[in-house]
Amino acid sequence: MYSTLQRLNHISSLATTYVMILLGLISIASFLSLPSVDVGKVEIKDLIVQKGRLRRWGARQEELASLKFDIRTDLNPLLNSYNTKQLFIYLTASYEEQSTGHTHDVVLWDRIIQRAEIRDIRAEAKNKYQWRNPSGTFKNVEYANMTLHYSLMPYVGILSSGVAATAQGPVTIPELIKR
Amino acid sequence: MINLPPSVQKVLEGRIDPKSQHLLEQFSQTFLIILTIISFISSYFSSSVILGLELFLGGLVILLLAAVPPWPYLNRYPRKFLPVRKLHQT
Repeated sequence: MYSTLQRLNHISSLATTYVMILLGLISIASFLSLPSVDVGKVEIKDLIVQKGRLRRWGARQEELASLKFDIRTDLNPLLNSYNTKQLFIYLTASYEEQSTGHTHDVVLWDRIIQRAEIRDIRAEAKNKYQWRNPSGTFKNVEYANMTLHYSLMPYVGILSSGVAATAQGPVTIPELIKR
Repeated sequence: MINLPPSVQKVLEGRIDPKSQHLLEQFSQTFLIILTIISFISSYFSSSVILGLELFLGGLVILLLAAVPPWPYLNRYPRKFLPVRKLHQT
């Protein structure tokens, strides 16, 4: 502390240590006080299965499912929460294939919501990503469960995730539309 | 720094007396601890991370203004140097 530069050096190094402690306290406090979410509803309309091709080179003709859906959920307590920077929500369909017994989990649609865009999330959208089955056909799949997950990204801290909305029951996959 | 006039050199070097140095050391530690606690509590209860960081920055600027430049109140007990002695000639 004997000269000006030395005092500046010492105090700024102390200050950076304490800023890290402050940010650590903020991240712990926000992680321990996350609000709980009322699980909302996802309505599936217009689910059809038809023959198509993926949008990539060398893709074969196979059965693709496409759907439109409507989400009603209130994500404001999460968005308004202490340390939230943005939410990442994504809609997944999870189903079991009867012939092989494998369970599949596909993401159909996702979206980033920033903290400044606070409003009731009511999206009417169609699937962003094409839904295909690895075995090329949907005839061994009876029904699928749709859930809307969210992933909360804080300003400083740990990522956390959960379920924001579910469809009211399993959704039956219809027959292939023959042209 | 050598080429500057001595009065400017003195300000840039900024010597303060040893008692003030000890006091500043203790004071800056306690001040920063209390500042951290205050800014965390205020950011938690106002539910805004930015507010806590702004409070911390404001407190830090106050501390820097009060401690870094060599103010006169930090130089009240200057170190006494003995007068210059000539070595006896051999």
